[in-house]
Amino acid sequence: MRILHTSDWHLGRSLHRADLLGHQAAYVDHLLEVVEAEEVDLVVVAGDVFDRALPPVDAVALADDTLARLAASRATVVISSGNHDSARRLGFGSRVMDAAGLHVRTRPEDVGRAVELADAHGPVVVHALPYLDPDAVRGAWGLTGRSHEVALDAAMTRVRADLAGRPGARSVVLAHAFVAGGRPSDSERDIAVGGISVVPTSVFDGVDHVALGHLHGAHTLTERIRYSGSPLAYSFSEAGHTKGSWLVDLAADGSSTATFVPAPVPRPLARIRGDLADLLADPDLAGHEGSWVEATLTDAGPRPAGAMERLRTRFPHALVLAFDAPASTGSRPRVVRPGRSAHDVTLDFVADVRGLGADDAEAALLASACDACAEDPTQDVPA
Amino acid sequence: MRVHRLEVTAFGPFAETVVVDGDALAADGLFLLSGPTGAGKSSVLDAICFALYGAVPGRRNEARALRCDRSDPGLATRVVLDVSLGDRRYRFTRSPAWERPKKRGDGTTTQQASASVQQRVGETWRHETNRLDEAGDLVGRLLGMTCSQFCQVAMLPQGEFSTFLQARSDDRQQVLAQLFRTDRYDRIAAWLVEHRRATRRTEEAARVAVDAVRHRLGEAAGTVPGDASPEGVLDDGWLADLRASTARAADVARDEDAAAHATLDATRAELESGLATARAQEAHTSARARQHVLDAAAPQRHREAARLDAARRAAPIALLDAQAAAAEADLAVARRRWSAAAGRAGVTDPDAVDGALQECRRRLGRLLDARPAETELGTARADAARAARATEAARAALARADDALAALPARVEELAEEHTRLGAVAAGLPGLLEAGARARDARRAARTVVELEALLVEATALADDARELKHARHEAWLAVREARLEGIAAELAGGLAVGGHCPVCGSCDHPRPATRGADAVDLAAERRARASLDDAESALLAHTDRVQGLRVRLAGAREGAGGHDEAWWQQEQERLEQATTAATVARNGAARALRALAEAEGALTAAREHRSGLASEVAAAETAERSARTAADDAERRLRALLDAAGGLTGALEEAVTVTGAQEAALEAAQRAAGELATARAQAARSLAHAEASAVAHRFDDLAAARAAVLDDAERGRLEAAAQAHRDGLREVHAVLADPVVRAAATEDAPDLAATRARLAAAEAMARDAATRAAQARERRDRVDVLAGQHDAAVAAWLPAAEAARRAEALADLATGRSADNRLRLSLSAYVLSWRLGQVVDAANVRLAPMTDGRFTLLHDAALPTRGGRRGGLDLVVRDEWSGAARAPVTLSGGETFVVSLALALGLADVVSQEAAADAVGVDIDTLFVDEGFGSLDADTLEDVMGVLDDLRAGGRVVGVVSHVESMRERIGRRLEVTPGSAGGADGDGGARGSRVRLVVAGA
Repeated sequence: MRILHTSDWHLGRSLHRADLLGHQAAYVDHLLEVVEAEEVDLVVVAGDVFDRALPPVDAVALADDTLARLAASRATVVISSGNHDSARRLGFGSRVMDAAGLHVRTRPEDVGRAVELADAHGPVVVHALPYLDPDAVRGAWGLTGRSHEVALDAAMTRVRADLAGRPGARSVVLAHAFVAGGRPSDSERDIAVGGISVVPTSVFDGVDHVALGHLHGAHTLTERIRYSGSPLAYSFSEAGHTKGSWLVDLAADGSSTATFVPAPVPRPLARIRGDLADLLADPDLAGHEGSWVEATLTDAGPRPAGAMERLRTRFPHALVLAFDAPASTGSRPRVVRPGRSAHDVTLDFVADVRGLGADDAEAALLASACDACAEDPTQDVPA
Repeated sequence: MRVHRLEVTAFGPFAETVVVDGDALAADGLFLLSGPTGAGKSSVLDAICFALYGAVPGRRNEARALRCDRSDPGLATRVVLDVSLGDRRYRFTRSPAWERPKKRGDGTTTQQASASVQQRVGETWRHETNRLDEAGDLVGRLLGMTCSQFCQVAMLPQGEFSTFLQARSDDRQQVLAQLFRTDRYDRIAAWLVEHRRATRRTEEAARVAVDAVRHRLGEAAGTVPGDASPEGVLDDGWLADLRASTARAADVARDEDAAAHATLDATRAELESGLATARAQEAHTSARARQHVLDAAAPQRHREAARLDAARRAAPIALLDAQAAAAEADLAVARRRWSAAAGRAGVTDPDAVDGALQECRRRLGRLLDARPAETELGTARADAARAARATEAARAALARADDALAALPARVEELAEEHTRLGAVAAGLPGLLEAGARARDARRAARTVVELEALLVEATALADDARELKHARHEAWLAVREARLEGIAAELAGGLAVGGHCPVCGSCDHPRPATRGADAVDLAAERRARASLDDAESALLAHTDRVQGLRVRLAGAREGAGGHDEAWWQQEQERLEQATTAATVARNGAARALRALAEAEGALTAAREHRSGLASEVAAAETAERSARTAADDAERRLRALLDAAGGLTGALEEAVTVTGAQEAALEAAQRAAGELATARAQAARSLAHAEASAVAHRFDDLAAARAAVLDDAERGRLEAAAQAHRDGLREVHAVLADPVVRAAATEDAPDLAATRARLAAAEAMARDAATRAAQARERRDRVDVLAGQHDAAVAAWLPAAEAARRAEALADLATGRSADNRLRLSLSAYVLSWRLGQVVDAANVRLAPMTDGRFTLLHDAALPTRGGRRGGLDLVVRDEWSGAARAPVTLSGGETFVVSLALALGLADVVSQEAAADAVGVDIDTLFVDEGFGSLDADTLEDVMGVLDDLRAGGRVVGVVSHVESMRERIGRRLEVTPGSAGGADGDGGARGSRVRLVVAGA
């Protein structure tokens, strides 16, 4: 069975206020082309279809269009919800859609209910685990711990229970979590609960293939466990990533081979750095003139005026402007590290306003002044 | 500040009690208060603010309508908040003033606002205070903020989140100063100013001291010193020169002085040797002269020596001579005494004295014997006189008694007669009393007669009436009876029963019974007539009886009255009363007369007895008189006999006794004087003989010669002294003349002393001058040395003081921002505030960058000119990094303002929590509340803000937001759903009237 593994579409998301819907639509076109071209049997979308719980209308329209086209294609589609989606809203009409070959799994109650498919070699069982909020499922499943690992463990227990009843079936599991070994980028939303978000790969033992979503970079954790990453770069930290989807061939014995299918890059991302004048003049940067640009200006001294304006004259798609050196206006008091004692503050004051540090005798005088004005006892709160 | 539990009763939209579990809500670090419009989301935050400060944030506080309108009138509005402040846990319970229905009566009464603060200690809640002002003070100190500051920093109220961002520099300064406690630096600056003042004073004093010493030095040296300056004073050579010169002058003067004194000593020595020589020569000369004189006086001295010797020999004889003279004197005294005594005794011859004395003694004895007899005689004569007087007295008494006795019997008879008379009168008294009583009774009876007659008339009339009535009734009854009998047939017919027997004929058939007539009378009427007749009869009987009774009584009364009327009896009664009175008086008088009679008879008897007694007394007295006379005669006879035996008597006996006694005494004295005379004579003769003999024994011719040789002490002393002086003088002279010095000087010339003296005087004058000069020079030098030492000490004190003053001045000016060195023109507290604000802005920018894609940055520039040009402004501006231009915060759009305010609040909270660990500020602001504002953000910005808020959870901070924005509901796991109650009160379906809250967790 040929599986196309994608995730984290984030329909409706913008990149630093720049609209990406057109690019996302382009990816959908590419996806469908790949489905036709590579004769994909199963498309799995491992979560984060939308960027927000209440996506904008045109994102919904795009999704509607996508699902319709996918349903019309030769592939079966299994979609699970991610932490960005509203599980309820995404799952609208899911039970009805099942009949159309479009399997949307967003409810924790459906965990353990498999999507039964088959290929020439036998049954293939797909378990799509939606994003499981530890607090949400804790009460329902009676969990003792409050972490993603515990929740996923319980979910996988159910999955294994179901698989136990299907001997000989190959299993594919979709999950949306932060699994150890993956590297996050700047565009994922932090899902840490109690400070911990990482799940070990051992959670997914006993499954033939695991298609993960949530991280926006494509990572291969093990032969069986992969992240497909987002189809587009959603932050400048992903400027170096290659975006695309995994094409996985699931063999009869459950082993899988995967090929990475890169997605088209409608507009690349570039990170440039230098003085404003250099950036404007440097011919080596000509290749980035059409890219989304994150510029870090290293100008010393005061901020250049109208920096973005001028930058955009060359890089019309400059999105982010950062500055390397803090602006100094010359008369601002020197930043002092916190936690200094009052005496240190007075010494700094003398040094700053006079330009000349305090000598020993002056320091001693300041010390006695500070001691004489020790904490006012009337300020104390009674015990 | 961590909210643990909130309980709200009848507050805002909550009609009853709602409880919010703060711990559960804040478990995730981010929670949402959601609900429909007006449900009460902001009211939950208001309740928290009210519990702490007693006021709700923002403008709503002006309305002061905190109580829920729909709650029960008697349910008190109350908010209870369990909160942790720092590491202490407190419970605040507050109620606003509200109108409570009176417990008795109608209407409402105002229940005052109340507050209660408790602190958790161990397992129990300890009560802290119940007073509003103390509670407010406690909260202010625990949180380190006032209510308005709290609502700028920790609880951003709806519509007012930008207050801190857009505040004026002064207001922001207050918030920061309060939060970061920069008043400490104000105090430090003030301390430095005070220190400057103090050091300046010290320096001034030290400089004055130095100047004073320099002036004194000038006076001592006679030069004028220059003014001292700190730098120049140390290497001023003036002082050293002064010291050197004075030292030199002192040395020179000392040398001169020494030389002068040496000259003086030499001259003095010379003079002394000259004087010694002159003295020796003079001694020699005088010794020679004296020797001549002494030699001339030698013979005189011999003679005087012989005289002294004789006087020595005559000394004891003089004693004896004196004794003989004393004996002579005694003899003369004894002679004089003898003549006197003999004259008194009446004798001339000493030998005859003894015989006369004996005679006299014999006579005296006899006289003494006669004395008692005389005494007896006197006694007897006195007795006789007394007895005669007694007799006289008794006789007189007897005569008096006779007189008294004569008058008594007549009186007795008189009294007896009176008694009899009065007794007769009194005897009639009982009869009179009885008659009086009878008269009283009869009078009463006469009165009763009158009354009874009246009653009788009346009763008779009544009886007559009654009789007439009875007759009438009797007639009536008879008439009734007649009528009845006439109608008896009808009556009988009325009593017939159908089928019953007729009482008349016995038939059972009653074809035509008689009917009653119109005026038929039945048995009842007859009986009634009879009854009334009986009544009348009995009444008549009663009246008749009464009349009879009255008649009987009347008869009796008439009898009692005895045929007289009341007036007559009254007169009779009066008469009898008068007689009774007279009889009573007579009775009393008779009793008195009887008593008097008895007395008079008694007196008579007594008088008779008395008289007989007196008569016997008279007889006895006469007898006693006679016997006394006899005794007196006997005593006289005895006395006469004795006197004759004593040799007759002329005059009184006592006088004779006395004379004889005196004579005896005189004779005794004369006897003694004679004896003494003889003795004295013998003694004088003996002494004289003795003295004569002794004179001869001592080689005198006779006693007279010895007497003449006696020298008195004064004379003898003089002679001896003269002899001694002579001897001494001789000795001295020899000694002087033997002295070799004298002998040597006698051979030399006389020295010239006057010239030597003159030289000495000159030398002394010079020496004095030199000494004076030397002393002056030394003094000056010493004084200069002392002053120099003082000068150095004063300078040593002054220089450090000047240094300290300079330093203090520099620092104080620096700290108050007035120093020219202060480039930034910032005072210390302004600097600290500026620094703090810089910290806050930096922390805010860390939050702001992700929320605005790094486009906006907050700036704080101390050099920016403030309104009014004051130094150290705390203005904030927002810089658009893309254009590099800075804008005032008021120019931001709504959404931008919200984002920047939120970043600022987060930055402030970050800095506060940082500094709380270093104990520079009070309490960690670790809970933030943001009320609305998210609606002004577009979706992308909202995503970014939510991302920042998510990050906060990791830092242990709790952020509570109020929003109606739907996507936030989806996004935030823990929510407090506030739902409004059903409108219009209870309509029977169990719905609560007020809003309700419900804790919702994560997508369930």
